[in-house]
Amino acid sequence: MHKWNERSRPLRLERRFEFSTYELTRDFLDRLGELSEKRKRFPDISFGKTYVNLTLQPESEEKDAPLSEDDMRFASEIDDLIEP
Amino acid sequence: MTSSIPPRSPKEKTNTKSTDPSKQIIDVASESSVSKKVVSPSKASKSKSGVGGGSKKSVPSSYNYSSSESISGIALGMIETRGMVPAIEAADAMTKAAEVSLVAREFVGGGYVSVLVRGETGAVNASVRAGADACERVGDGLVAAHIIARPDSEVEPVLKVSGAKRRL
Repeated sequence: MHKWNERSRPLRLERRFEFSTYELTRDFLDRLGELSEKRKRFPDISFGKTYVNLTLQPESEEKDAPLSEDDMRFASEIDDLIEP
Repeated sequence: MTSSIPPRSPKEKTNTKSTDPSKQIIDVASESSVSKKVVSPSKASKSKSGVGGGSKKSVPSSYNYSSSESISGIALGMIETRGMVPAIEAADAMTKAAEVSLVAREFVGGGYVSVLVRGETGAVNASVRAGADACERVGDGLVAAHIIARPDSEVEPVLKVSGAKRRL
């Protein structure tokens, strides 16, 4: 089960990750980049020194497409990138 | 603590946020019919400049949003820095890191500079990360970075370079 917030207009999943240092932020971005290349899914990314905001839109490019199981699964995989 | 600087009279004060078109730096490179071709008198005599302003050379084509033929991929990457030096460092790092096109460099006011790249999503992703690393080590560093994998077509006119030499 992912820990993202579902928003509408347009339908999307959003989550914010915060880190204590820029190095940790970059490490997470590198892991996210590897996952994105592997899954060929690229969320919108907004980041600063100690935070990363991700926006995951439905994989389907059709207008008003719902979030699919694959979208949810990808969100969970991103959650798993955070080291405990 | 009180300031020793006397307050400016209303006539002397420069309102940098004035809506008077004659006092604004207006987009002079836009093809949009909405933009006004009005340039303040103090700027009218100056020629177009490249990076840093003041040069009489025309703006390099790499800084203009040219035709789509030179850009493969529609993903958009943006980095905002505090100062020109980290912006140049970020632009250099972004273009070296991946196959992206540098489409714009904008002075957005207050000493902030934004650099925009476009290309395939994976390339833009790697490029922006590299650019953020680079400008983080220079000067006041990274302010913000943003990647849009699939920008809406309505955003395209906003991405055209304004040609502004600087913004107060």
